Amino acid sequence: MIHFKEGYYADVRIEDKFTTNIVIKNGALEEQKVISLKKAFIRVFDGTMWYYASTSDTDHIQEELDTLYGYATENPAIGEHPIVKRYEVNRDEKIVFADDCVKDIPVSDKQASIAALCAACKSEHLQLVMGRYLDRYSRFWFYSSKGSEITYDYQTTGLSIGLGFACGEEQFSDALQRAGVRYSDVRVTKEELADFISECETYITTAKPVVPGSYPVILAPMATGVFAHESFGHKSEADFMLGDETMAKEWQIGKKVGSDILTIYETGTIQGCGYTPYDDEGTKAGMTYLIKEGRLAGRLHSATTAAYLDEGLTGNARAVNCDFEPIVRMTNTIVKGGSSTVEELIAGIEHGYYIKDVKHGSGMSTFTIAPNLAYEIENGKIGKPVKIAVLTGNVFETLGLIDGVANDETVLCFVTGGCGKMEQSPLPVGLGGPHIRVSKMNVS
Amino acid sequence: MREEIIVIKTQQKCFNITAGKIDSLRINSNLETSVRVYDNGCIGVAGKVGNCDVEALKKEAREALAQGIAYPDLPNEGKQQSVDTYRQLIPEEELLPTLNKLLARLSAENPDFLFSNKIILEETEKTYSSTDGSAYSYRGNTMEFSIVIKYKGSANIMDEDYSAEIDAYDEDKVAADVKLICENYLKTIPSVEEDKLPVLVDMSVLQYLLSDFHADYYALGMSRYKGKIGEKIFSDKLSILCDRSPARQYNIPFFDGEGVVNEDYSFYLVKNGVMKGIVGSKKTAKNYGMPVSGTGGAEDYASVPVPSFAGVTVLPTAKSLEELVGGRKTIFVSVTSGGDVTPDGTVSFPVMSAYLIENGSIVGRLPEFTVTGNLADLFGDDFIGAFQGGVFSTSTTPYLVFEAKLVNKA
Repeated sequence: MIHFKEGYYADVRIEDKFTTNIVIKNGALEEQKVISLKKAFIRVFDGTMWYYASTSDTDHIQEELDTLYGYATENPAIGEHPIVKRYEVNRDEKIVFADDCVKDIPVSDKQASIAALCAACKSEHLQLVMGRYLDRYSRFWFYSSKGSEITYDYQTTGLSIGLGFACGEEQFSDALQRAGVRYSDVRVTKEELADFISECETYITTAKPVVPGSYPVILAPMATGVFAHESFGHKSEADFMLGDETMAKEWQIGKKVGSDILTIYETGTIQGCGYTPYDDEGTKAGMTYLIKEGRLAGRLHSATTAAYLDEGLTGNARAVNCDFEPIVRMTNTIVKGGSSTVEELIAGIEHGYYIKDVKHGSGMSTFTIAPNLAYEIENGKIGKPVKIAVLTGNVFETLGLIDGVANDETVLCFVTGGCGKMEQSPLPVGLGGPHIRVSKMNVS
Repeated sequence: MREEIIVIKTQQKCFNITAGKIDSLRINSNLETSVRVYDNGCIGVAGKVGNCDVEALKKEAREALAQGIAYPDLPNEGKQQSVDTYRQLIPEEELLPTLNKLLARLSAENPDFLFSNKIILEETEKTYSSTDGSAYSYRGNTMEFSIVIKYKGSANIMDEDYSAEIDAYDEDKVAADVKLICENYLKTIPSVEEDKLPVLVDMSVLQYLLSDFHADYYALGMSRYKGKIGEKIFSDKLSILCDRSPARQYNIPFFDGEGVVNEDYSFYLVKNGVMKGIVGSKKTAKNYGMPVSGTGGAEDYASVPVPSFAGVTVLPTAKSLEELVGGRKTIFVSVTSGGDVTPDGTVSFPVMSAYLIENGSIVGRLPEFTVTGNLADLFGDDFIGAFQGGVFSTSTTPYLVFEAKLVNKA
């Protein structure tokens, strides 16, 4: 039982996290780590300053809270503060994975599943096989001085088969990954693996360099998701507008920001790695359209940014773990599917590139996507593999250059990597969309 | 059976800046204990966050031996050493007013800009002990500025940043460095006509190279420099090392994660252009027949040791940019937007913010472009040298200068 003092806003977030991490490198077990860690993050606000502390001593949260009260100044009107007024009061228990929990799967089963796949990886230029099994089950508790009492759980499980190839002086790495929220849903067949290895072999032995320049590009769902996340998702995080009155005026809802066929939405309700039924300020997840038919439709908020811009909460205040305070972050960011088929998108390109998967991306005024498997498109057909270091472009120009959206919207889940923002990384996020066509991107 | 105990205690005070003012203070105190045991060619690891019963952890680590994770038992020399580099940068009670005063000054001197993100003070105490007699302890601290600079009204998330790890706090120097960037951000100039120029970049450019120096990649033939230890692979002017010297590093223990202390606390990957070594753990050293490099680390308190690039840096070859390029036009790359390298070693990184330097002074801000080149050239014939600090008076990290192609110019 936590005792909150009058004259301050305060909340306590507790996470009891179970993780498994098994690594098999070239057939040998390198790591088999099962960790249970319970931590708490405590916040006190006096209307002027926030004071935060984290602790693993969850039996003495009250003492930590009382210490923070000592730093803050009592404010009898704290309840009327615009940020505090915005906080939702939710009382809920949303436990959805307890009956199908990865904690209950024997670690030997988990190890066997990844070992069998690693053993099946063989090919001429394959030098390194790094198999990983990763899972996480977290139970969260959130209590606030306004009366919130929330409990919910979160789960991800997945496999990643990282492959390293060498051919002459050239090297190539890629990974086949499957992830989901239930152990039984995550499967890679040996046939899928063999096909992937074969594609990588063809790539390392035949991929040709590109001539840097601007070309039409087709992005597969993973590349579309990374593009949406990097190019517009981060721009939708409203904390970058704090204190900038000009920006708030310029960045009005309804402003034209992309092609008419582009719609991007954001929601924490999808059960995947971005699942966030309640954010770390206790706000319930909803659905936020960031772009609707090319026009700015919404943005992502914490209570601080919502109060500053006088907008509603969106459930996007997230912290990477209980060492950090919540800041505005994405959950699941998805480009809405359109009406074209993938074949129709490709058929319209005389000379361009098809980006099948990506290593990473980043985005500010310029976005960058670093592709892995990429192919040329010649006369409306996918052709030979090509070596592309990066795709780049100005965010707003490129959003306006999307001229095709396919009907194969896909939401992806991951157990490796994640989103980085300043000091908090990697935060699990979901992303995806359909195949999209961009009439022009810088390729180098 | 050999045992190792590693204890890491960290304390962090993090001041968050929003719209030029400090709006929060976060205090993180963390204690992590790891126990590793070695027996019959295997390792067992156990770890805990917070106060713990070390004997219970030892038992847990011994039980973990049954997992059968192969790891060689390579004891250390059994030496003892203690280093304390802690120094108070700003008195505790003056922290908040001092930083608020600095931020007020930055906002007043640069009224067209907003400042946000963090100023972090961190203190680390780390001890390593082993039943082979080794016992090391380290205490250090650092103050890190990570200030995001945004031009008011800009649609960008950020336009510039000022990042520096400092060894002494000097408000005038920090303010001068921030003003240098803000003033020149406003001076926009056209693209340069040249397609290749000297480019001044921070050490993040090494990221495109480092996996080639990872023991696994090297030994398994996935390094561009496989089999080339002892051979010249880069310019004479380039030396890359993992540096754990307490005199040169602020918050990095002088011993690695496996209790290895190198001569002069340094391990060279490249010395004067010659490949000298690869970054490995004791396990990779044994497996691949390489010397122990003192570059072991661990993902966290419960992990098996793995190769670590902690403290990786470049040796300066000059004291100033002028010494390297004379009065030649040079481009200072300030903010990049990602970047990557192709299988054949072609690097490309889009540049969001860059400045033209002529005769040693910044002339103005350039439109966006992409820097590209092959690793063999950028660090080979096109490598000009390295010097400390770049354009900043407060920065203590080295900056690199090489000639590179400029493409996709706006």
